[in-house]
Amino acid sequence: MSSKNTKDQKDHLNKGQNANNPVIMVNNLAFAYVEDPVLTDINFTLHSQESLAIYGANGSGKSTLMRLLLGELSSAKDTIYIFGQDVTEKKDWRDVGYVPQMNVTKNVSFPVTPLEMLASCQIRKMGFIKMPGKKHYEVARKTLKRFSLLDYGKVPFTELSGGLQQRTMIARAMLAEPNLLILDEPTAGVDEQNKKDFLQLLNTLKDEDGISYVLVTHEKDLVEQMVNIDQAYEIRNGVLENV
Amino acid sequence: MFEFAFMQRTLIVGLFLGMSIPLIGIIMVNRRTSMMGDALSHTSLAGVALGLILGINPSLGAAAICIVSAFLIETLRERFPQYGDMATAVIMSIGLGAASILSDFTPGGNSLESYLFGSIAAASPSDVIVSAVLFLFVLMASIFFYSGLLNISIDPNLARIDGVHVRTINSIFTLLTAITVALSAKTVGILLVSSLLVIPVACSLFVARSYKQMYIMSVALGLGFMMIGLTMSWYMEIKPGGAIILLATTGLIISALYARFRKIKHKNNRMAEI
Repeated sequence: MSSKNTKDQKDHLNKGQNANNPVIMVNNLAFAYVEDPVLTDINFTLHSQESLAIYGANGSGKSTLMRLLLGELSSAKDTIYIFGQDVTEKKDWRDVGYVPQMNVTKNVSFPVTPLEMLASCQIRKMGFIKMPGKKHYEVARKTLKRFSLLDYGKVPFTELSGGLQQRTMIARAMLAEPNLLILDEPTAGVDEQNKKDFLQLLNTLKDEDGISYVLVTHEKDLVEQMVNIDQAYEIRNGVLENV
Repeated sequence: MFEFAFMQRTLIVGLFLGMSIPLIGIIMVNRRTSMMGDALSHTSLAGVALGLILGINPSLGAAAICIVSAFLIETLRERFPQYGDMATAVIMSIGLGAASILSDFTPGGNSLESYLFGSIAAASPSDVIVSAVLFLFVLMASIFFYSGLLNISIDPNLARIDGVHVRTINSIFTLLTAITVALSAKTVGILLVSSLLVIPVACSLFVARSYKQMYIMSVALGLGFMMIGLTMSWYMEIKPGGAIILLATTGLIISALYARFRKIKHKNNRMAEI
């Protein structure tokens, strides 16, 4: 896999945000759905080309933290910054790639192919009519090839194995050439060999493409064994602790 | 059949609705909100009754009630996602309750009953124009938002990050769904319109191997079921809604059998390769 920090990407980074800003900065983040706090005093900083893992059991608050990072839930102002921009004001997410949990991808019950998926997610590169054309399919083909998925390009997503589905989702996230990748339990429900292959792919993306990423997972042992993590935290009852 | 003006109108309305309904159905099925069609069609009965009582076009009454109900369902679903389909069931119950009370005050029971199962002679000249305009809007929205709709169906959060205006697209399709359901009630029938939203899409889910194929197949099947069903209704003197739905159900069984045979054939081919 070749390094591909394109000029556009750098331009975007410089235009939208200061390149010296941390990729993610979380300051005194707290959150409650109703009254009981789900997250308390969360602090961490992720710098460029770094990796960060957040381990935690079900119900520990890691999914809530993920939803806050992605701006899906509203956080208090000045608590989460992505590329120097307050997440509450962030409208343009092209510098962020997101790989959802397997239970999200399991919701895909209609016959969409990986090729269609990757062609259709290039919304920002489409004109007034948001329908993929030849050039979008060409980009999709190239990306599928890069992730060794071209042979499965026309196979319905629902017929792919869990490992191939997750690889498709990471290819989809990488297609926009983001600087940050956020991965939510990407290996849950995937068989052992595919888990290892997937985590190995993260090493490659970080080392060769210079991607920063946040990996939220409950599979601490496997990640520690397979992935070069720069920072690791464990989340327990909404409190983040150094590992 | 073609020599009668009312039948020409019915066939033209059927042509437009036969394509509009599956285009809306695809979105509903993929977003897993199929029950919304059922709820809207049932609440539209209250609008029809209200229209008959007030002496205005019942389809207009149905459309107004459907639009309000659709946005109420979407708002409740968004605000209380943990309760799943409960908002749909609540709005449907309110709509049916209101319809049952209003039905006591409608002038003559026959008009209201014709909306339950559809009527082959119901299409007016204005229905032809309205269904043509509706089809144009649904088709344009389906093409303009093709990628956005696909991404929302995968995951709305993922779609938002990719730059899709999720809220705008959802609002446009909620409005189009409500109007399509309200207009279809007259020809297809309130009790059966949700089946026509779902069955052509369900057939294509069994057979199609890509999203594009699913789109084309759903529209072709919706159109086929509608036109053949209306023709059967004329020649066999049966209610159009019933004819259309029974035909669609037959199509669904054939599609399911085809998918089953294809799976067995695929399995045998793989065994032979090994």
